Amino acid sequence: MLNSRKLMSIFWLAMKIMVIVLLSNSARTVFVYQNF
Amino acid sequence: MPVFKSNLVNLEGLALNSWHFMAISFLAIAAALLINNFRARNLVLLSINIYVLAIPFAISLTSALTLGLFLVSVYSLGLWRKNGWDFTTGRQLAIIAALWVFLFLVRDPGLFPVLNPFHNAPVYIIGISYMVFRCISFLMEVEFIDDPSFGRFCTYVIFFPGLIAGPIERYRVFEKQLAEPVHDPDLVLVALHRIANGFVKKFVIADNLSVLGIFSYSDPTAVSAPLLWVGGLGQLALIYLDFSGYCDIVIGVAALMGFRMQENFDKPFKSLSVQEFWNRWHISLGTLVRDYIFTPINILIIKNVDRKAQFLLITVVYFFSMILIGLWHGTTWGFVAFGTLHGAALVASQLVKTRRPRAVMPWYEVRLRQFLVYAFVSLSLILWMSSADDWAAIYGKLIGLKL
Repeated sequence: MLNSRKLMSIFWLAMKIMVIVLLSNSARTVFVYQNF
Repeated sequence: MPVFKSNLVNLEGLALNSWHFMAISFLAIAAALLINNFRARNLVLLSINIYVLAIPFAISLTSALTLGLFLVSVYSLGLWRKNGWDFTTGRQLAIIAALWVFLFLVRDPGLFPVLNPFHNAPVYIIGISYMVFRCISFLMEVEFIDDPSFGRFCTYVIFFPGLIAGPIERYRVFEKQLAEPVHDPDLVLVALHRIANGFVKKFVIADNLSVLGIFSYSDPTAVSAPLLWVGGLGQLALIYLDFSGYCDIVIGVAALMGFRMQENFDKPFKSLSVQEFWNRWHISLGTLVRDYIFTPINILIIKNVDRKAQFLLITVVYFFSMILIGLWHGTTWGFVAFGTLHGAALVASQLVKTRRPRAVMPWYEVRLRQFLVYAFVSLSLILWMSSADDWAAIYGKLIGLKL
């Protein structure tokens, strides 16, 4: 069952994934090389 | 390809941030989740583990045969024990010593070249240090297992999430989980958060900090003294982020597969003594050394040595346990020096042990102690991470001397 606590948890997980994609070293390399 | 390479976590072959690792993890999670038949599930998991060794880590045929022979030997020894061989404390220590000698010879073909069978035919087995410890755990705990099988033993030793840098799970605990992986839907989000935290620690913070270059001791003359201090004091935090981030990812992936792996860290920077630090850092290694080496030797001492000499000998064992932990990481003078220094620090913290509990200490004493323990361990990593030729230059520069 999805309750508000779980929804918040999913939201924070999505935020963390965004930080990883935008700021991780290897992710930045991918962005630079693929010229996004 | 990750930029950051830690001395502790070697990610050549299968980086945790690669699609390859994610695909393998996904497959393993699906297999653990969907296959109900015990034998079929274990067969698939073992196949995935063998695949990881064979393809991403490209183990050579000679290395694979050496590993196979080693595993068969340990398993046979385990069966022998299970079938009634009297496993005295002395024999236990002798077998552990033999396994460590094997580890040293395999890992460093240049060691004792005349006696080393791997000198002319070197082999490379990723994670062999961890495998040897798992084999020790198997031998120590096999008597508690009803029907130890070679397949499950191999799955335990080469379990891919912890292959490169642990945590080192106890055999008894792993065997139980292999029989019945625990899939709790409530823990899925927790595990995903754990993996995400690991990625943030390791690939966002540690990797980005390491490219600044101040944590490398490769050319100490090129770095100014204040920057050397920043790097020296930041080193432990960086390794913590890297290693605990790695463990977070591994523990998270294993949790999704239904396995609860042992925690490796328990707020190490809250330690008030070096002794406490080693109880909170790389816990799975420390507890195994304590249970399988330190305690049995102490039992032998208590049984066979005069009471007056016991304290002195136990202190010596304390000291040598740390040197052994250093050597387990690698047979170099850096690791020997690191182990010796920490052995001395452990003995010193035993001798001047305060009996006052943390609660009665004023806050500034707690903070000061925490900082001193942190600074001591962080600066001692210079021995670990740099060449012996540079030690004098680095430590000299830190205190303003040109050595």
